[in-house]
Amino acid sequence: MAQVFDRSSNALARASLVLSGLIVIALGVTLNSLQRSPWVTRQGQRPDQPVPFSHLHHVQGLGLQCQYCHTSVEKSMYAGIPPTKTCMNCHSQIWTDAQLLEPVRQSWATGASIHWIRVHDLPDFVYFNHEIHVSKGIGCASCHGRVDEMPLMYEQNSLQMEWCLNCHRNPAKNLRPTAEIYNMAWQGPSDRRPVWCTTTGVVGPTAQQVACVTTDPAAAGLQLAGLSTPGNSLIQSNPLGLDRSQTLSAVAATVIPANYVKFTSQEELGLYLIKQYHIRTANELSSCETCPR
Amino acid sequence: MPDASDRMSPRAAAASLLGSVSLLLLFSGCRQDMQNQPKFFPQRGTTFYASGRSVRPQVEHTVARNQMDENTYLYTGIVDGKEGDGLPIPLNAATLERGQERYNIYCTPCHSRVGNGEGMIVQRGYRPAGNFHTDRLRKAPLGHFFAVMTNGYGAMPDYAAQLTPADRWAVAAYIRALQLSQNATRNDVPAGAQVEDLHEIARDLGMPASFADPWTLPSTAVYGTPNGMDNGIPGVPMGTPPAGAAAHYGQKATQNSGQRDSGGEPIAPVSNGTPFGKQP
Repeated sequence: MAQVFDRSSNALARASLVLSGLIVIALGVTLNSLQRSPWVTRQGQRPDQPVPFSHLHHVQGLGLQCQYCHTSVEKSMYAGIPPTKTCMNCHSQIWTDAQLLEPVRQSWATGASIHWIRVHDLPDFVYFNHEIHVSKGIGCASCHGRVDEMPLMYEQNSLQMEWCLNCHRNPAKNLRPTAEIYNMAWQGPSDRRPVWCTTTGVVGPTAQQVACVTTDPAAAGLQLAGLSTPGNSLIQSNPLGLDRSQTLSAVAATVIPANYVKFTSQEELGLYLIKQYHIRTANELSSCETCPR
Repeated sequence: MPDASDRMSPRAAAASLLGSVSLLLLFSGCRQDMQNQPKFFPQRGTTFYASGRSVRPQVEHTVARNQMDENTYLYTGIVDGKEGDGLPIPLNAATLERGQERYNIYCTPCHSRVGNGEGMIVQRGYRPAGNFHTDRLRKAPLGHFFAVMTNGYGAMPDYAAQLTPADRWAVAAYIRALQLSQNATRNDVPAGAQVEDLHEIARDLGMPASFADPWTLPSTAVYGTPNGMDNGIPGVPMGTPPAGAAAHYGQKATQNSGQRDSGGEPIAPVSNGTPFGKQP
């Protein structure tokens, strides 16, 4: 009886053993990267919204602040999609005949909701809370990216759990003074652009216990002192001559404490703010009891 | 994959197929109902109610918690049928800072940061907003600003949903501060404080001479109405603006409407309607 298998099939059998192992590994790698790919995370996708709303135009072009529309961002877990009335605040008179805004006018006339497509959609078992993040030093742009430069809204980050943990394990790299939360252009301190911070001694919300400035408080002392005018003669001014991206509303505090600390790197500032804002470490966050609902 | 299985023994091919199928099942199993639970979520909507809204509006003729006292001065700004002049919340630096913050968010788009009523939205063609530095509004009681924020006024919609009553009072207090600051003299500054003229600061920064001047509406301010004109407030008869408004807006109105179409002669003065906030 003739041999069914040729002698070369020995090698083929061994090779197939190795090959099938490799295929299993390749499959794992593929599925792993697929799970992290924009196809699954929807990063960078711009869904067809009922109205092609441009954050670029409304934020950068017109100078609207985030909270003008997202009113509940600092007092609830949910930042809030504005009601049609907010659109109509301006569009009752501006671009009243624009075809693009027809769904808005329809909604306004009929009272039916506009069905926006949610771009940042966390799984329902995630109890993410905007309020605690914006009041403890995480800026909008840290998670949402430069929304003011997005003509159409898209997801900048994966919003996957590893992304959450990346920050919760080392919050220092993203923390900023609370006066800068809504500043899209904020950049961490560097040697060329240091930041000075001090504790204000204010009793109350954590955020008000720290004041930071971007110009040397020692040099600006004279002008700052001019702000603490007694009585009701309030002089509205921009004493530091800062441009808009640098202006810190905390400067306007009437009490000017003396002991400013200078920071020249994000890491230093972050560690300082972790201490001041009482940011919990990843270990302390092991229980859901520690989170506000 | 087909190339590989051609050379592969049937058993290995079957094993790898089984492996890949089970892996697929494993990963597809990760996507469960927990991702999308049938619970209500803010603004997500629901199929449970006919309106599709999971957030329910308040039932008519009912009183919710904390709504009992909504006819008091804190909530209306009205005393004896007239706008009151008192501030029902404590006045301190924190109140004014809060007012400034809220003002800069919700009011500046139209009223601008200095309160001259020529903010960006007005520059883009919204009806001119109230200028806080007119005699009429300088003399207006504090309750007037509160009532306008609560109920709207002319073309201005109400901001009751965006601003809590306490925030509205804080903004009203800040508007007072703005009025004082924009009308301040050197006598208002305490002795020894450093005073710099805005024009000098602008010059030191290398800005043009007009940089610190009050700004005017640009010629690009257009009305987004079908006929490109100010058609007044629907339901409100168009009238001639009062003298105060003409004094403030007359010159700018010409600039505003003058070059709207061809850059030539003014086609229609912007003040053929009554600019909002100018009625006595």
